[in-house]
Amino acid sequence: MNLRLKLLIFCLLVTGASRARGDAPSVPTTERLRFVVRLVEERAGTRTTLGETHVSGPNGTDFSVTLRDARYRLKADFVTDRVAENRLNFRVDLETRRAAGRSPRDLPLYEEDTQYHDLNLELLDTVLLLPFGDGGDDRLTMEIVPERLPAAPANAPLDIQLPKIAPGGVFNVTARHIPHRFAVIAELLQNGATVARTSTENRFRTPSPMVFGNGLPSVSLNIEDVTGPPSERSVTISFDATTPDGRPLARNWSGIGQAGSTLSYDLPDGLQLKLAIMPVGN
Amino acid sequence: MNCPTPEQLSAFFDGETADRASVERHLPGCAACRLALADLRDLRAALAARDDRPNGAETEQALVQLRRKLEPSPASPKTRFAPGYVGALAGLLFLAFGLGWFFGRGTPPIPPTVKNTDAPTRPDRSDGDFNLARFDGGGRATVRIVKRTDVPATGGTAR
Repeated sequence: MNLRLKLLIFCLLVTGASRARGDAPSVPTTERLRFVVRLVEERAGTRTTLGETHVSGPNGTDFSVTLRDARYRLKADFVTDRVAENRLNFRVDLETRRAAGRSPRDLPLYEEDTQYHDLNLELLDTVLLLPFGDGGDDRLTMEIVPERLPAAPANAPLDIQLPKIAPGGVFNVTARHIPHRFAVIAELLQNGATVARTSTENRFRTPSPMVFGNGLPSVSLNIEDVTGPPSERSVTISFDATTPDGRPLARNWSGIGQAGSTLSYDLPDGLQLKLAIMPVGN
Repeated sequence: MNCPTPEQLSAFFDGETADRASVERHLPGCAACRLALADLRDLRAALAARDDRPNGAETEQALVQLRRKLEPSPASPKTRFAPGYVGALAGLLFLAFGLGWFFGRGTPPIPPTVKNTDAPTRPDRSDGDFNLARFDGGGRATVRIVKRTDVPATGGTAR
């Protein structure tokens, strides 16, 4: 048996062995985080965990927590970003709705509240959400603790585990992973002619100013939502436009369009605003 | 010269183009390229002003993609393939798919997982009449951070 034949047989044996072991080509890995979400009752110094959910996913995993019964509903959307090795940024949109009786025409009345919080925390810090405020001996709290997990394949899906189910289904958690950074090109036209263009990077659910230049209106753009698979992303936006002397041209105007397409808005004073938005990264 | 491509303009902006002189000659006569260059400058300034951006290069890449989508690309010349080339191309594609199938078998797509580790047991309290009203003193919901040193022991959960 000559050397070439021996080499060929060796290669075939190695290939066969690796297939038999099910060896996979190396897949890129990414760090993951786990968010431990606990619903806790505190009464007279005693803590009882009513429900617990673990959400894990790559950096930038978002989750929503809902707490509800017949009279009360809380929805908290957590947009999370790992901004440094041990630092996280949480942007929290909080909505509550509480039954507040009946109207003279016997229609249900509700007390509604919306809040926005921008929190910077470290890993293993706890975000404490108090659905009914701080007072009372019998207190309900929602604790969210971010933890670091070992790296996993980049294509590993989000994972939700339910170590303890809350009674009556009052508490549930959903999660998703969508782009959090967007490249934006904005163009301002007057009577059909371009007068200025600008480009910025915007963060998800963070209103960001876009300045066209001296003497021209400025725009505050908020990317509110992203839906659809990566190849067909739709982006929901809202924006305010203001003249240099503070006169509002547009207040909370909004729209939805496919990533990369142009959204056009006719503003007062013969102005037109064109916006094109593209997710950065995933 | 014709307008530089977005990549050439970006390279010019970064001082990485070999043919810098021709871009410099082109710019005074081309408002579109000056605007595109101003975009790059604005973007770089915006990136420099923020410290929590993981990768500015990705944003620039996205901007290049965005510009490509916004500006219709010039029509490309038609290419004719001789039948022999078509056969060879088909063969290559067949070989590529075959190799892809052979080596890709080890990494099937991973389905999403939701595990109910509490499923075998009922929740530990009667939930038929559970409501949140007994916690509701009419206060407004609040959110705050508790530093890790202040967190009381919760027990029962592995960290």
